[in-house]
Amino acid sequence: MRSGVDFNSAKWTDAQKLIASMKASAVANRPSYLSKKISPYLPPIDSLPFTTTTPDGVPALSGGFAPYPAAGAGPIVILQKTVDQGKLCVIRKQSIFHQGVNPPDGSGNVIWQVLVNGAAAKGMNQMLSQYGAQLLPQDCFIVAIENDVIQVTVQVPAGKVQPLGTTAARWDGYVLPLSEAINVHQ
Amino acid sequence: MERDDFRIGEATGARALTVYGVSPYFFPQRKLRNWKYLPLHRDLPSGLQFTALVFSWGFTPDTPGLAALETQNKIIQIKKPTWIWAINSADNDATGSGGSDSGFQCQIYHTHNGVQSRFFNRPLRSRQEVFGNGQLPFTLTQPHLFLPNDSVEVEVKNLGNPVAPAVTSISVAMFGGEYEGTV
Repeated sequence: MRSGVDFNSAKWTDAQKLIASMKASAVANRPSYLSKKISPYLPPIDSLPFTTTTPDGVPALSGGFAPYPAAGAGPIVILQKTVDQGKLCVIRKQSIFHQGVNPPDGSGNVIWQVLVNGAAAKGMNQMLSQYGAQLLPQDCFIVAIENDVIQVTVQVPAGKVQPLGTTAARWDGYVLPLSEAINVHQ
Repeated sequence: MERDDFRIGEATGARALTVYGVSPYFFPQRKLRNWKYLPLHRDLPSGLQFTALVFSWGFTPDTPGLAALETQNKIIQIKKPTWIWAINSADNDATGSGGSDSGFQCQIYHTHNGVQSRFFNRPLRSRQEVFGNGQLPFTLTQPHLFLPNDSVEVEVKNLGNPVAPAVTSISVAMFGGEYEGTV
């Protein structure tokens, strides 16, 4: 047996041994969830690339970069994307940046978050500095499936100083049909 | 007359190739509605040693809890063949004034021989979907098997908004049985 487990050494009924054997075989032969074509570096040649920049997906920003919210006012969304039906979305490069003088990096005056369906992408829950730069997005690997909502938010905590200038974000990535991206033996 | 020993899975004769039926009377939690939550026939082998795989954040001092909207993960390495037959979860949002208590999202990854598969196509909501609680654990009608050297990773995404410095404690437990296989 491929799993290396000798079920015949157990005092089970034939039916139980058969079920155990089938389960072990199923585990041993499970395909990976994502196709091995999915990579943060090289998009599959038949994927559909996209770039999206603030204020895409956020009509409230009325066409410009986002001014910082008032201190303690709570987070605002500065970039949002909803993954299309039937697609898998991979974000390969991301930039979240300050536009203006005196970047607030590290001061604690600004907190950026990247959220997938309302919860933070790992490590992007409380970013106190910019991620990449406007013209030079930084590598990342965020995978989302159809109907997922991906957001970048910004907030100025209570008691902190609202910076001058604006902020914005940008994603470069690609989408693939789910039938190609998931659960295929390749 | 119906034999009554087929339930223990060790019958001989015509019943030998069956698995045993699950009596809802052993599971009093949901009373007559138990049939909706339990498998009709249990295919777990006999002689399993009870075990629970516990993934916990914040309930014990060794692991911190989660801040608002934070994502964390934990991995357990499997030593013996382990059958999982139920899952439950608990969470405790110490919210404070102005905070919110919204549970969490969870995804489970199973890695075997370098191949990773996931239980769900997207993270599930803890309270509305698969995870039961201490009184009503979610019984898997199809038990899941982990083999030795497999790894199980649970990723939790806090949806609550505890007011710092308070954090959210989360625990996900998988109940099952393990046995000594010849590996």
